[in-house]
Amino acid sequence: MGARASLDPRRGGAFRIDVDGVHIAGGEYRAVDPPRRIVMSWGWEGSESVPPGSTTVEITLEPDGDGTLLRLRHSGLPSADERNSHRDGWSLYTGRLAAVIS
Amino acid sequence: MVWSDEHAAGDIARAFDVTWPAISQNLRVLKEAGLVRERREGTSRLYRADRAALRPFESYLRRMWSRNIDRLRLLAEAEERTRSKS
Repeated sequence: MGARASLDPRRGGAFRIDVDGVHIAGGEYRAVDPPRRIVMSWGWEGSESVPPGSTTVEITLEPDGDGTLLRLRHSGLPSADERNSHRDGWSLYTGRLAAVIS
Repeated sequence: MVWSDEHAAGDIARAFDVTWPAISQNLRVLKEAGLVRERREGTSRLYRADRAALRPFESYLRRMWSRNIDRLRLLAEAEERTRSKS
C-alpha cells in the first residue's frame, strides 16, 4: 500500500506513508520486536477524526502450520464509521499481502 | 458498478485501481449526499446506488457511459487493424 513511505522502524522512530499523494498516514513506532510484534501509533495527516498519533495499531506474527498467522488490532478509532472503514481497508491490504506471499 | 448490484466496499476497491482511503472517502461522500445506500451484513458493509435519488442523472450517466464504450470499441478496432497489418 502506498506510493512512497519513509520508515524508521525502532522504538520512538517515525513513519509516514504517502498512500496516493492525498491520503498520508503517519505515526510513531511504540514497540518493535522482530519478528513477532510491532506496535505503532497511527493517523492521517489533515484528518480531524483520526489525526496522526491518535490511534494504535498492533501487529503480531506467529507460526501457524506451514504459514504465518498475522493478527492486526487497530484501537482508539473514534466512531463506528471509522472502525468499519479501517477494518475494510486493513482487510483489503492484508488480503493483498497474503496473495503476494502465496 | 453499484448501479444494479450491491457490492462490499472491498470488492469495489478491488475493481478499481484506486487506493482504499480514496474509495472510502468517495463512498462516504456519496452516502452523505444520499446517492448511495449502505447496508450492514455482519461485519461487512454493502453499497448500492440509490436509483430514485440518481434518477435525474440516469440518462446523462448512461449517455456518458455509452459514449465511452463507443470510443473504447473504436480504439480497440484500430489497434486490431494495426496488429493484423504487421
